[in-house]
This record gives sequence, C-alpha cells and structure tokens, in this order.
Amino acid sequence: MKKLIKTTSVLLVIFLLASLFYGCSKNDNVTSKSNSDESTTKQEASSTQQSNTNTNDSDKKLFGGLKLPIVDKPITLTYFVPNSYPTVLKTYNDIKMYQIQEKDTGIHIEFIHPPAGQETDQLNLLIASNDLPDIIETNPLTYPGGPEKLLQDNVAVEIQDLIDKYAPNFKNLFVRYPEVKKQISTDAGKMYCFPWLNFYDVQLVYMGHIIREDWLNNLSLEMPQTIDDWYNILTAFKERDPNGNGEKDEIPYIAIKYERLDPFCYAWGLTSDFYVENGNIKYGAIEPRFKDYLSTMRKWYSEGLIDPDYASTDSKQFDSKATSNIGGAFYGYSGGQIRTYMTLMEQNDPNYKLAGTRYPVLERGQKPPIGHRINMFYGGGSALITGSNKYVKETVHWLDYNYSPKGHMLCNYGIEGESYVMDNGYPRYTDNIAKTPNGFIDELTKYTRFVGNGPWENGKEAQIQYMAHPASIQAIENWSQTEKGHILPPITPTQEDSLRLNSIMNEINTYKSEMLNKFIMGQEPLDKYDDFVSTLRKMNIEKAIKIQQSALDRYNKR
Amino acid sequence: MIAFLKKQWSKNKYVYIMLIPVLLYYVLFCYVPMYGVTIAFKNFIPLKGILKSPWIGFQHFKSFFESYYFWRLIRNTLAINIYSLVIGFPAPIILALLLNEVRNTHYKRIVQTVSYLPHFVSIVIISGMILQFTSRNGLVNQSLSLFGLEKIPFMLRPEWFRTVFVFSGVWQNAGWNSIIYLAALSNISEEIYEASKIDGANRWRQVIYITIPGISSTIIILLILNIGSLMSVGFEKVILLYNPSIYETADVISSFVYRKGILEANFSYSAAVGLFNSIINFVLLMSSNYMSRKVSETSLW
Amino acid sequence: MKVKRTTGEIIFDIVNNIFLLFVIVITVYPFLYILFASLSDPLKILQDEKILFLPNGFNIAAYKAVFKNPNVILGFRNTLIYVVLGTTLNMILTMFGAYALSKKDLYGLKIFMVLIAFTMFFSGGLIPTYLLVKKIHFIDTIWAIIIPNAISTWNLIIMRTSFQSVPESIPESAKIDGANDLIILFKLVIPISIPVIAVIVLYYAVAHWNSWFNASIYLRDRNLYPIQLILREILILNNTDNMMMGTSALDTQPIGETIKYSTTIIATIPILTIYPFLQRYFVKGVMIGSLKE
Repeated sequence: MKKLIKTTSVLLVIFLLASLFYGCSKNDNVTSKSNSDESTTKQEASSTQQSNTNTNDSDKKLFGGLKLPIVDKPITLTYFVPNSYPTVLKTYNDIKMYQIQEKDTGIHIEFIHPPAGQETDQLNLLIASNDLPDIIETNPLTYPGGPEKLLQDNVAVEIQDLIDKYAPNFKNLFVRYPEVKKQISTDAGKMYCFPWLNFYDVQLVYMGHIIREDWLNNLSLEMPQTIDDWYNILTAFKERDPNGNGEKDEIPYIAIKYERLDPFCYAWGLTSDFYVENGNIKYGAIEPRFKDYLSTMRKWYSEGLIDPDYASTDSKQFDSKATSNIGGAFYGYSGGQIRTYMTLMEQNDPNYKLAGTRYPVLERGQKPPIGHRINMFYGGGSALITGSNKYVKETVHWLDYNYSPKGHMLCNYGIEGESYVMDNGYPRYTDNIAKTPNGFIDELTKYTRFVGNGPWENGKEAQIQYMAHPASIQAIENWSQTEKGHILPPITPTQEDSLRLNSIMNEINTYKSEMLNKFIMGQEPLDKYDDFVSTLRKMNIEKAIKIQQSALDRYNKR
Repeated sequence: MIAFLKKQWSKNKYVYIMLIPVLLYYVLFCYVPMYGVTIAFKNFIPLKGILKSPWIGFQHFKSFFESYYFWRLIRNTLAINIYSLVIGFPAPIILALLLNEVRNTHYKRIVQTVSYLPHFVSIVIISGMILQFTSRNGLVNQSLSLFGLEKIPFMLRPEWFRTVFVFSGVWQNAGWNSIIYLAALSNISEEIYEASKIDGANRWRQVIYITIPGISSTIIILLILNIGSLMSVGFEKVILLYNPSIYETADVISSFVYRKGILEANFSYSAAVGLFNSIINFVLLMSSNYMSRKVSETSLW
Repeated sequence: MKVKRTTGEIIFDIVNNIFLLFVIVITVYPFLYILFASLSDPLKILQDEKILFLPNGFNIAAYKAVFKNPNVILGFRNTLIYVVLGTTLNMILTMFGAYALSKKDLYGLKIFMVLIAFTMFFSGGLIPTYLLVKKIHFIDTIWAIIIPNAISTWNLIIMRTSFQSVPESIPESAKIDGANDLIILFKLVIPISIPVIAVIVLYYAVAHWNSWFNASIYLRDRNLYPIQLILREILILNNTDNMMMGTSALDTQPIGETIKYSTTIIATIPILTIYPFLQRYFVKGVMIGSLKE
C-alpha cells in the first residue's frame, strides 16, 4: 500500500516536472506573416526598381528573360509540400537546388512538410482553419469540385495575366506545345497552377505487356503481334514447359486483379472505361465489340492460359509468381517490373529476360489503336499560389525560374560537375548516382527533386537514365507505338456534374468489376451480356457519358 | 431544492470534485466540437468552415439510401458483425476459462503471453498472411489435400469470405481480448472456491456456479458495448482482403464509402453515412442496455 | 489440502493443455514469421511464399535501412515520454470518473452515463477538434498528444463496472471510520481492483505506444514525432508504387517488403518487454490473496 502511494507520488512529480519542461510551446514556426510586416514595398514599386537590374545576354540565355534577383529586400514565402525523402533530408532547404534558387532570386522559402501519407488531411485542415501557406503543391485535378472550385474557394488565385506578364519561360512552353495551354486552363480560360510537365514518350508511357523473352527463345517463338499470336504463345507456355523443369507448372499470363488483364481490350479499339472516339466520349463496357473481347478472355481463362487466381492475387503473390519461373507474361511498369525484376534476378538467374511487346492488334499489320499514355499535364506536383499570398507577382517570377534554361537543368540534373557532367551536350549523371544502387534516392536528392514531381518540366535525358535498364527503354519504345487521341484529356466536369458523376460511377464501377470477373471466370454465361449492358444503362451510364461529353466539348473550346 | 443539492454536496463532496475534471474533459473535447456533426447535412466548403457551409439537408443521406447497393451493404455489414459476435465474443471468454483451469502457473503465463501477440501485428501483414494461407497452394489447401479433400480458392468464393474474416479475427484478437476476462477472474476470491470444494463441488460445477457468475458483469457490459458497434466494420481489413469477385458478401458500408472517397474526397457524404451508422449503433446500445437492466443487475444506466 | 482429480478431470486437463499448445503454435507463428522475414534476404522473400522456420538467407539490411534514419532514436524517446505522461493522466482521470460514476446515489448518475456513452458514437470529427486544439494553442506541443484523448469512454466503463463490484460494506465502514472518498478510492477501492487497473494501464499504454494519427495532424516539429509516425513514413516511402515515374519504389532492391517486417519488430518489441511486469497483476495464481484485506 505504501508502495502504491509512493509510486503514485513519484509519477505525479515526474508528470509535473515534465509538463513544465515541455509545456512551454515551441516558438511559432509559421512566421512568414511577420516578415511581411517589414517589407511595405508595393508590387508596383518593386517592379520599377527591377527593370534596371541585371539584363545582359548571358543572363538571358540562363534565365530566359527572367530578371534576377526578384526582390531587393529578402522576403520569405511559406511552401506546403510533402517531403518525399525524410530519411535523407530534414527539409527541402537542404537541397542544393533550392539553395541556389534562393541565392539567385533573393526569396527565402520556409517549407511546411506534412508527414508521409497525411498530405490530404493536413492540407484540408490548413484550408479549414484559414491557415493557408503562400504556395501549395498538390494535385488540383483531384480537389473536390476540380480546379474551378479551387479558384472559387480562393485556395488558388488566377494567374493567366500574371503569367503573360511575368513568367517568360513558362509562357514559352505554350509556343513549343500549344496543347499544354488547354490542359492547364479551366474551361473559362483561367490558369491556376505551375504544373509538372512531361512531353516525351519515355515519360508519358510506362506501362504495357511484358513477356519472358527467354521463354520465347527457348520455344523458338516470335514476339506476339496479334491477339491470335498471344493465344498461341500462351498455349505454348502452358504446354511446352518453357522453364525447362520437366513439369507443366507454368502460369502463362498472371495479373494483379482484373485491372491488369483489362488492357487486352485495347486491341478492339476501346477501353472498358471512358475513352474518346472522333471527339465523342464512349464507354467501352457497353459497346457491342466489347463482348468479343470478353469471349476471348473467357476462352483463355477456361483453357488455363490466365492465372485461375488472378482475381484475388495481391502484389506480394504477384511478385512471387513473376520472379520464380512460374509467370510467363503480365501487364506492368517499365520501371517497377522490367527494371526492378531484371536487376534483381541478374545474379540469381542470368537467363531471366523480360521484354515489353507492342500492344496487340486484331489483324496483322494494324497499328495498335490504344495504349497506356498519361497526359502532359498529369496533375500531381502542381504548385498553386494561394489566396493568402501577399507577393503573388514575386511568386510567379520565382516559380517561373524552374522553367528557365538554368532552372531546368537545376531541377532535373543538379549542379554541373557535381551531380552531372555534359557529355557532348548530353547531361550525364555521375556514377555515384546512376551506377550505385539507390543512388538516385540517396545522392541525387541532395541536389534536386527530380525523383518525384513538382513544378518544372521533366527532363528527357534524366528520365532515360533513371529508367536505367535498356530493356525498360526498349519496352517504352514498343509501347509508344499506338494511335493517339483516344485517351481522355484532363477534362473538368462542373461542380454539380462532378458530384453526380462520382455517385453514378462508384456504383457502376462496383457492378462492372464484379460482372467482368464473373464473365471471364465462367460464372456467368455470356448470353447474359445484354442484361449486363441494360443494367449499366439503368444505373445511368448514359447520363455519365453526357456529363463527360459536355466537359470534353468545353475542353476543346478552351 | 437548494437544501437537497446542499445535502448532496456535503455527502459526496469529494466525489463531485473528482467528477469535475472528467466532465470538463467531455464538455471541452467532445461536446464543444460536436457542431461538426452538422457537416453531414451540409455541402462542406473548406474555406467557409463547417458553420458557414450551405445546408443541403438530407441530400447525402438520400443519395446513400437510394444507392443500388444499399441493402446489400447493410446486409453484409450486419452479417459480418453478427457472425463475429457469435463466434468472436465467446472465444476470449472460453480461452480465459480454459487458461484458468491450467494448474501450472508458468505454462499459464506463457500461453497467455503468446496468445496476444498477433494483436500487435499490423492488419496489413496479417491480411497478407491470410491471403497466402488461403491461396490455392497455401497452407489450408495443402492440409485439405492431405486429407484427400478438394482444394478451395477461398478468396474467390463469396460464401467463404465471412468465415475467413471472422475466424482470422479470432486468431488475431482472442488472446488480447481475453486479458480483461482474466483480470475479472482474478477478482473472484479463493475462499468461495474453497467453500464449494468442502460442499463437494467438482471443477465443472465450480465453473458453472462460481466462475461464470463471478465475471458475469464484465461479460454483460462488454456484450452491450459490442452490440453498440454492430454497424461498424473496419474498412481496412475488408479492403485488404476483398476483391471484386466476392463483393457479393465482402463489400460493406465502409469499403463502399472508401471507394467513393477515392473518386472524390467528399467529407459530407462520408460524415452522413457515418452518422447513419452511429445512430443505429446507439439505438442498438440503448436497447441492449434496456434489456440487460430488465434481466440482470448490470447495465450502463 | 490436495484433492484427487477424477479420471474425467485428468482427461480434461490433458486435452486442455494440448489445445492450449495448439493456441501457442498458431498465435506465435505470425510473430516468428515476421522476425525471421525481417532477417532474411529480401530477394528470397520476394520470390518464395512459404512458411518460415528460420530466416531465409540471413540479412540485416532491413534493420540498417530503418536505423540509418536519424529520427528513429528520437522517435523512441518521444514515444516513451508520451506513454508515461499520457498514461498517468489517463489513469488519474479514468479512476476519478469510474469511482464517481460507480456511486449509486450520485445525483444525476443516469444523465452523466447517457451523455458520456453518447460521445462514443457521435463526435464532431477531425476539423472542429483541430480548430479547438489550435485555438487553445496546443498545436505543436505535447499537450495536443495527451489531452484530446485523455479519457477513453470504453475504458472508463470497464473500470466503473469493476468498481461497482466492490462490496458496499467496505466504503461504508471506512466512512464510519471517518475516511473521505479520496482516501477510500486510493486506499481501498484501487488495491482491491488491481487486476482491472493493471489491464486498463495496459490498454492506455499500448494505445499511446501505437498512436501516430494525432501526432500527424497536430505536430509540425519533426523533433516531437513519436516512433510510430516515423516508422510509418519509412514504410510508406519504401512501398508506394511511384506511379508518376513509372517505377515502384522497390527500385534496385526489393527491400520494401522486408522493411515492413523490420519496422514491425522495432515497433513492437519494446511494448512486449513491459508486458510481463503487468501480467502478474491480472493472471490469477501469481498474486493470490495478498492484497485482499
């Protein structure tokens, strides 16, 4: 009993002492507003002062018309962005790229890094408590209500006029790629962010069919071009023991759930979801020729050419099947599958070879109608200037820096001589980055944020070197050879429409994914397909198509 | 009236003093923010805050009730939870009773310590293991074929999902949940057992007439609390285990709302669904509390 | 006196012990698997999907990857502080509340119980709570971690149920002897209810140990992060499919999978070590009778 009192009192004392120690709240670290008190220079005043500074030819080449430094007296801006490398960096100010940028522009950045996985929650809390930082990096396309709502909510401000006047480098992109202007504007023509941009196939395409090239060689087979070729090859994988162990234990085609089986339907010129055909929005699952695709898949499944457990396979089981001489072909990433698996298996099984094949077609000689491709404007990594920002013009200048020639090299490659060298005009990463395992994460992140996304133009040579494995690069080349124009551009339904659309689609997606699995696995006879389509119509798929169509029409008019 | 209150105060002064910080906590951290519940009836605009966002009444609720899958989701949620209750509620009690019968203290402690370990393993890893065990070549099917039975692709058959879900829950949590019953068991005084032995009771009779009644209040309260979460199925485990081919039994309210949240983060909608669940849960709690009051001495109020 | 066991009882004991052995085997397996997997060669873990009886190719890369993060030690320190301070506060408030609400003659008892139980079902949600915490300047301090969840209603109800089973004669006779309620609570009721107290301490301590969510929304300063939040970050960053770059963060090594396991071990071993100390208070046969006066 005495012991109990004693323990309790000791605990209480510790408690009180510790509270004193920790109770003093840390200094407010969101103090950017206090800095703004000291500089009372109006925007007009600073611009007249700037027009006399630093414009000579070499600067023009480096900075493309951007006048530096941006301000005479240093200012601080707050910048909300998740820290993607907390094991290497404590704050992004540790990255050389931002240090150099600060030196050149005179603007200091105070980063606000939410913990990994909590970016959306944190952002919503900041918005709800009216505590908006000056710059936010987020995906405006996934904001509830879309980019127009972002502007309406004053989370982002309109910047198209400011870009016109103060962002010469970014503006230049519209000359090189007119499509970009459409993608990053709202239907009303307003711009709201500085985006992460990709222009080259090696960046825009990164998924496709992958096949065990060594198995093809063992069986003296050629790369499949048509759907029939695939059928023959998969049957051969099943029957003719390509892994040479004397047992028919191969699973010809493996997949992580239906999504990785779905791309076969591209050969029929549609996707199972929304796609574009001659300016019209279509929904593949209700198109008549979709039934042909389903019956092909059903046949393949019934003959054991597709993993019988594909519908419940998770990524861990998939990794195992793909790397242990069981799986013959699958749909996957150029990096995460081809490069990763091949690098892994190099020591264990030098025969293991993966190759990416062209998307299959129905008739030999056709060009694949549809393949994986993302839009130039992906959405993620966009920098928004918020409604609390008191230095909008300076911020526009500051963000434009990334798109200038020097900024471009800085963001993608780092510092010449330290993280890359110019090899006959080709920026080549140093060996401790490119040739060391995890070099990109461990080393390059000290210089740039290239591994990740953010407000700059993604470098082509950077991406190629990041892909590293020649098989990955070759795969991307093969996968890129498709017709263009069928993938949905970043269209934005109106706020009301968007609510309606999402309600409809959640139910349709649920129903569709259930039924497609049933059709393919033989649990539902294919003559029920028409019932399936009419149920989809009852679930308002046509209303959904109309909503997307009007969004597309508005997009085309931007 | 004043005299009555004064008497209360003088009789139970310290009790009320003890109660003050507790009530303060509830008022400040539970009731002050309670206005947030209204988000379910509004079209939430982050910048306006909850209070100033526009009212839309029952629109979200309507949208949920009119969903094509509404009844299926309710059915699946309730089915999983009732099944869990029937199997998963007695399991820790039985485990505690069995442990209680073990005479070797060391063995008792070892079993008890080991049995709660799975509770600490994250659901992500547990789910990975479940999928592995139930796969076509996994442990379960290999055992089945040893006995000459046909292999079953458990995660592709809707009729098996609930069983896998419930029994894996027992596996993971029975040990941890038995701890509170063990504590309740240790409160039963040895003297009663001694006395009953003198009266000639064997172990079985001791269990029925002493042990179980001795922990009955704990059992009843926990039962009431568990009935009060009948509408809540944690979405994380469901999402990790399910796939579209078994949506028929596996898709519950929380997983459906989660998928909707991926399409569009709509606080108000998920708040409305959550509110609906909470109301049903609370009603269930009140009913079971009422019934318990009628048949036993134990109840929440 | 030693009573002879009947044949039926002997059979029961044997069957019971075998059954409990089975329980040990199936419940220790996940943990052992994780332990072995965390010490295995990442490549083999990727390829093979089998039961492990030993590490599959001994390799401590997964642990190195976690510990090279300087925040890990800091995280442990922070969590320890949160657990000790938090649990102390929890227990004081919960004991006060449970005792007060166990008094049958308390005026307003029913109302209090309904209002408190109500909060288990209905809450304002993340945003109003965040705004409140912000308003009282708790953001980025230890208070935001231990105060918003200072009382768990579930635990309160369990403790109250246990206090209710203390025979009335005890506080009554103590009152006659001149004791007030505080003394009754600390000197009589708590010692009698030690098993349940120990369990509730365990519940609160484990909850604090495992918590990361409050820290993620209320703390800006990384130096205050608890270990679970830090480990969670490591896990997420090693496992997410980096869709934009067309790669998965497996990168050149599939270390992501084994890191999942090493973080689990690192996150759980400490709490497991304090468990035996608490266990003695609620497993009967260990502390028999000594506290009952």
